[in-house]
Amino acid sequence: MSACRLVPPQRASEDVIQPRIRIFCSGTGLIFGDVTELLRPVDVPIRERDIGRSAGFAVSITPIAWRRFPARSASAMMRKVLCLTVSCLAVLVRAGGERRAGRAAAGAGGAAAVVDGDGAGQVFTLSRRRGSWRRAGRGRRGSTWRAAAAVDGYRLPVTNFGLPGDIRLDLGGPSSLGDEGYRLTVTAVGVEIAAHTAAGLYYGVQTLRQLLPAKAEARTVQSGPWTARGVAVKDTPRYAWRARCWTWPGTSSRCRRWRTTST
Amino acid sequence: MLDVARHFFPVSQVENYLDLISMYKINTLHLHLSDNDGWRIDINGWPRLARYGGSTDASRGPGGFYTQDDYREIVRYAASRHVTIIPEIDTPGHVTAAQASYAELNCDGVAPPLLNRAGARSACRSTSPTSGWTT
Repeated sequence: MSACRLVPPQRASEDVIQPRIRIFCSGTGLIFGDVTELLRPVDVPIRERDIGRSAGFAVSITPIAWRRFPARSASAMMRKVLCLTVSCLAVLVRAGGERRAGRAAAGAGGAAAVVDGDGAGQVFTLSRRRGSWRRAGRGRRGSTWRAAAAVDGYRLPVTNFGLPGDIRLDLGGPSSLGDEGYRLTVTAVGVEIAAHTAAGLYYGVQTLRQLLPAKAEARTVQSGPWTARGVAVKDTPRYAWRARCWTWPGTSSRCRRWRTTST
Repeated sequence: MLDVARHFFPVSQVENYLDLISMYKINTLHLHLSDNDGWRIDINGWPRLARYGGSTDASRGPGGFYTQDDYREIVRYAASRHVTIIPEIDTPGHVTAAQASYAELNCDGVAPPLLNRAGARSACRSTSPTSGWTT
C-alpha cells in the first residue's frame, strides 16, 4: 500500500516560501502534480459540465506590515509541540501566496473584503494557556469543532466559555456571510472566527491554520513560537461548486482541458 | 475528480486527499469509479464487477475496489470536511472491466480478458446496430 508524502516547499528568500509542493505516492511512483495549482485562481466561467474544473476560493489576506513578536508566554509552553494528525497535508505560504490570493480577489472584483484596522501590526501567539477554541452562538458540537482541535497539536480544549487570548468560533455570524463565508479577526489578544454555518467556521479555521508558520503542518514535533499576524478578513466563495481534477497523466483528457485553461 | 478506476486508491488515501482539498476550501470531489481498467465499487447482484473486474489496474497493478461500507466511510469522512462526493459510473464506453466480468454484456456473448494496461478494446465487432462504435 502506498503512502503519500509531501516534498516540503523550497525557501526562496527570507520571507517568501515558494509554494511548490508535490505529492508523491511511493507505491506507484506517480507524481500527481503541483499543489500550487490548487492555489491558482481560475477566472474562466464555470460551465455545468466542467465537473473537474477548479474554482478558486478568493481568500485575500491583507499583507499588513508584520513582525514577529518575541514569545510572551512561558517558553516551556511555547516549545510544546505541534504534532498534527492531519496526514497528507499541505503548507501554505506566507507572503507569496497571499500576494497571489490578493491579486485573485482584485481580479474578480473583490470577492473577499479585507478590512484594515483591527489586526494591523499585531501578532497573535498561540500558547497552551491561550489556546482554547471557544464556541459561541448556536450550533452543537460537531465536526467543525473536532477539525478545529486537530489544527493545534496542543489538544486545544473546546469550551463554552472564553478568556482573552482564546480562539473564538462564533456560529452567530451574520447571514450575509452566506453558506460558506466567514469573518476572521486576528489581534494580539485573540482570534475570532465568525460564520453563519459550520462550513463557514471550518473554512475560517483552514485560513487560520495557514496564517500559522508553515511548520505548524509538520508531522513531527516542532518548536514554536506559534504566531499569526494580525488580520481582519471577510471571505466568501466566488463559486459554490469548487473542485479539482487530478488523474493519471497521459490517460485522460479531462484534466488536460483544465490545465490548458488554467495556465 | 479523482481517477480511482485506472489506478485504485485505498480509502485511507482518499481520506488524505479529502484533508488536503478541504484545506483549500474545495467542496466537491468527483470519483471516477469505473473504467476499462477496473470497476471499483461493489454492486449488489453483480458481484463480479468489482471482485473480478476490479482486480487489475492500468499499470499491471493489483487493483482493488471499495465495499459499500468503504464508500459510506468516504462519504461520511468527506461530509465531515464539508465536501460532497459525486460518484460516476462511466458508460457506455470505457466498460471493458464490466465486459470482462460478465459475458452477457458482450454482443458476441464472449467475455474478453481483463486489461492490465492503459487502453481499451472494441465493444462490438459484429454487425450489430452499433457496429463501428468502439469504446
